[in-house]
Amino acid sequence: MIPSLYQIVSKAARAYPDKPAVIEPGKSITYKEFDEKIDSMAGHILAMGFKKGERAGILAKNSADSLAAYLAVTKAGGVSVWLNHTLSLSETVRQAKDCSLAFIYAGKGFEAKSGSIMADARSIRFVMDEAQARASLTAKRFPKIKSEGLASVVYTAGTTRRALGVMLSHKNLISNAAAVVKYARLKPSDSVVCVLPLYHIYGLSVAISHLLAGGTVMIDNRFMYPNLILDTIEKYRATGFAGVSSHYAMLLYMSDMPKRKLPSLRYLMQAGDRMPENITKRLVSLFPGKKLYLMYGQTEASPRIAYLDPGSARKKPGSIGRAIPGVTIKVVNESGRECREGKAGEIAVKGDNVMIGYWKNRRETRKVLKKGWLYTGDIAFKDKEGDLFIAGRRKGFVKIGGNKVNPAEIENVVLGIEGVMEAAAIGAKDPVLGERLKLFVTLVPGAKITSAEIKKICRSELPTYKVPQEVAILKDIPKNSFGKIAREELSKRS
Amino acid sequence: MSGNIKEELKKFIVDNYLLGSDSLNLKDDDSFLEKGIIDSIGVIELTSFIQRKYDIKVKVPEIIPENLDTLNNLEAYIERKLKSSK
Repeated sequence: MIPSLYQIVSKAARAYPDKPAVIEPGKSITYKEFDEKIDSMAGHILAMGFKKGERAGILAKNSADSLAAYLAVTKAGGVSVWLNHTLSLSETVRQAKDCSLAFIYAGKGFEAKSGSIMADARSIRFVMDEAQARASLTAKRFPKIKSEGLASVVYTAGTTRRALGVMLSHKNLISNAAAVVKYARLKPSDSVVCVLPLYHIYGLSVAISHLLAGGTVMIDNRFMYPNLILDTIEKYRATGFAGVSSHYAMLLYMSDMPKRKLPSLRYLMQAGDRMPENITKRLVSLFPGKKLYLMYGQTEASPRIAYLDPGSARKKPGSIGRAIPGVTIKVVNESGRECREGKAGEIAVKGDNVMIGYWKNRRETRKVLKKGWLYTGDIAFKDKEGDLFIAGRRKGFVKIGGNKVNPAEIENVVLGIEGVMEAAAIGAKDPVLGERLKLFVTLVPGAKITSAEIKKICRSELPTYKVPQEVAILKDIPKNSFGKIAREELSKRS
Repeated sequence: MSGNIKEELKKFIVDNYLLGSDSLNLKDDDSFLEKGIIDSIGVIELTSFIQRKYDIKVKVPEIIPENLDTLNNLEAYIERKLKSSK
């Protein structure tokens, strides 16, 4: 196995120097050029005094440059932390402080925000913008990297009110990407259109697995206009597309996809949330000759855990299939015993893909990592053929357009608003987003705040996907006999 | 009429995507895509808003930057739709 992330590109550069590694609308970079870019950036990073094991933030939209920066940090012996650029400044500062970033790579348009983060997070010694990153500075020697060494910290919603930093090693990410290459039979001739943000583990996994196969990653950040993505697929004869269920809902209902044949497309990949069965059925019936991979995973598993064999998508549209190569899955009850067929229990996972732990959080790590098994918090059952079906989520997360959201985080923000007495955020079914956030609040007597004002404050404190689509002010919030908010009752009302 | 549409659209964009403050100094020909103002969830909200507000039907092939990506484009698109519905 290739021992470190950047060597994926070096190896492909030797095998296919003139083949495009990354394509963006209007420009393309070959593997040789991409490898040289990573080398040069890593040299620059070391020349700035960066030390092995330090963390570096990537604050940028998807691009060949930002992906190169992510890999260059690891070549310089560091740990890449791809920051979610849609987060508020205060949340980004909190993450920067949490993992003591040494520097930030600021993509186009993020220079000022990076400067503001640096002003607040004292560990940050410098900001490297795109122009500085282009300065050619190769190092004579790069640090030695162990495959078990920490490569990346990826922040994800946890059971706490704050995001948790998932520590992933080179081995975690590469072994998982290798499994994707194997089951999806990815080849150097493959090219995937990547609309998923690379700060999300799913987007990163799509990029790494296609680079590992020697294929091409086609970055297109214009998904708000889905027809443009279809144009990209046709223009560059892409063989693959990867998205969350809301991408497919938008392609089916807000684009010309049903009218286009998309002959170059060999496979469609879905993960990040639960695919509604009607979307799966529609895709299978529109594109019977294309392979639809319905996949399941979580950041803590780097991320892929299971996939449904494309041949079963029509027969079992609600299933997430079986374990990917190199991963073992068991479904366990509360006593830790394996459940019988048809009996629901928690999915536990073992394999080289299981994270090292949560950054600086042993307590949360101990809750999910037990004797080498990762306890996912997802509830599922196996059918008689061994295929898995998700039955629920133990941790009560909501999935909006593929983004995992902890309702407690939204409630925390809303409870800080003057005049709000109680708050409960729940997930309600949505035909496009999978789930949408609905917020219920009660006000302190005499308070005059409106739903629109609450929504406005949410917009200022939270990234778009975490802003409740609906805010309802109630006289009282239903409670159970223990005085806890009765979320099921609220779900019935929505 | 025309001035009103643009003002209404600008108010919607500023209130919903710019936190109620036009700190970006949004210009009539600024691209929402390039400026990172609206994402894919936002475009669903935007199309729902203009359908409701102006009683028009946004057809699938019309969800393109030429119609929706700037205040000028949006205004021209809505005016075309209103004219054709008369």
